[in-house]
Amino acid sequence: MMDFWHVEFMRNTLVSALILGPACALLGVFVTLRGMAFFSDALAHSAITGVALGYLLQEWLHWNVDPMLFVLLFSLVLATVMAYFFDRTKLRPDTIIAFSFTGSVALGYLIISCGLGKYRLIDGILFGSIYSNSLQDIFRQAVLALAIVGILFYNLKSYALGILQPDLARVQGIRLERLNYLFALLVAATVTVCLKMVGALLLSALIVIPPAAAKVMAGNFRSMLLLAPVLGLLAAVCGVLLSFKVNAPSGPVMVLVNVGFLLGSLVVAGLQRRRRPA
Amino acid sequence: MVPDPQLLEVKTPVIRLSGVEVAYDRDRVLHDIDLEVRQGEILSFIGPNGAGKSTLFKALLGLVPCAAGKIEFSEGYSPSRTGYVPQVAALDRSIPFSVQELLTLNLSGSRWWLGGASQRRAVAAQLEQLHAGHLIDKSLHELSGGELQRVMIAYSLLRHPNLLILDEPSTGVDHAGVHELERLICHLRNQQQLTVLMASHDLHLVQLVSDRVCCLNCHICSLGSADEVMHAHYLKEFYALGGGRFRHGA
Repeated sequence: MMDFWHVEFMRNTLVSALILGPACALLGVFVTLRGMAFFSDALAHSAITGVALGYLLQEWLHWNVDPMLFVLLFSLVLATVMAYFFDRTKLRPDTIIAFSFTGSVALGYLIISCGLGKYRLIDGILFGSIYSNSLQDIFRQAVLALAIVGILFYNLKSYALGILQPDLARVQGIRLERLNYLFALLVAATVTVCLKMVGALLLSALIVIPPAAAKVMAGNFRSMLLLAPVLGLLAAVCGVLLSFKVNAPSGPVMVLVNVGFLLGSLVVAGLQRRRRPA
Repeated sequence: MVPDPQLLEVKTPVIRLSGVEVAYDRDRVLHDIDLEVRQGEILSFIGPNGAGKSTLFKALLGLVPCAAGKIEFSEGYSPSRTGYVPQVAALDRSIPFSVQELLTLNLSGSRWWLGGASQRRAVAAQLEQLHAGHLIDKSLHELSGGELQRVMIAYSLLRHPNLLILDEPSTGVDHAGVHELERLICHLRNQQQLTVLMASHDLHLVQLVSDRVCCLNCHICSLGSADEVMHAHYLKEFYALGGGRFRHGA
């Protein structure tokens, strides 16, 4: 364990897991209760287009800008567009997510297939590259985690009421539409910052699974709010340590540990129901 | 339960709607609504689905804008002093909220997530008033239709409103629950001097509690006492019912 701590990339990986595991899970409580699980998935996959666009502009305009900045910008724009469509059109949210998801991935694939992007980097976006975590990345992750905790707890009552019954929130003078846009942007920023950890294909697992397991076990909303980050933290740390132990990529191991927690919580809840007197 | 005759004498209008029109996109949902709500009365709205009952309530609460006309509240009355109980079908009960957590959402103060003894006391006191103190630690999904209505009414009363809006309060409530609801609505008006606006398809409940009944179908078709309005002619027109006067409890 001490050897593990002395190797820089391992230490950075563990610190990232400690920061992002609980932060993603806390955000995920609201993502799942609002029925937006595939919203985060769509944003994660749109990162392919963001990075492709970034390289396209680099090649054409010779800008030396971090492609992750384009990923962030593209995610923010897509999140805003989807939030606008949720708010202003009669289309169902799943339809909006589906066409945003497929449309953005199609655009990214087209750019790459024309030879304008770099496959190597797309590979990193899809599957993550947590071992290349730098101190700058950890700083970004810490800022994001603080933003998630700050924004969600500052507006906790408004978001909770908005999930339960939007009209009850509006009657209290809560400007729900603004908060919904803010939430969409927060999810977009989270997706971008977390891409290195597990990649676009698996990212939504970190956001969706810990709150799902917490919901199965929790008796009320407060305990769900506490339990989800704890499970997110445990799954992320166990996943990283286990991946080093068995010499496997940490992203998929983290996700499988999360799935294990969810299945475990379902079994425990099932046993509790059986023991409860009728 | 018979409405309090003394309160029926009080005729002060607390809300005045003049030529109110509400439209969603370009579809007029309500038009030419001229109505006075009197202090301390129970005014019920009946009409088919899509008649604009819920929309009228939303306009009163300022949740939807009026395309034309105006809504005036007399002094002391405002949307912020109105208790609103929406249709329970619109409440997402899959979210693991306890009754206490739900009710504390309507208490002032920003540290909602911390809970605390004072919050619990305030919530428990309100629930006790409605004989629902035993529900405080239950989850929303564990409640029966009648219990949920009682909890939602307790929620709406926490800010001490002087006007209460009930949107389809008998939905999902069994026969015994409707009688409980009837007693509760009359109690709130008689003991707490609340003015109550209610939309309901439950004509039995409407007949029992209402001082006045308004038949709505995008515009006001008729307005008067329950006996005047809930006549076979109107019921046939609105609900396509067979002939004969409406008999409650039948």
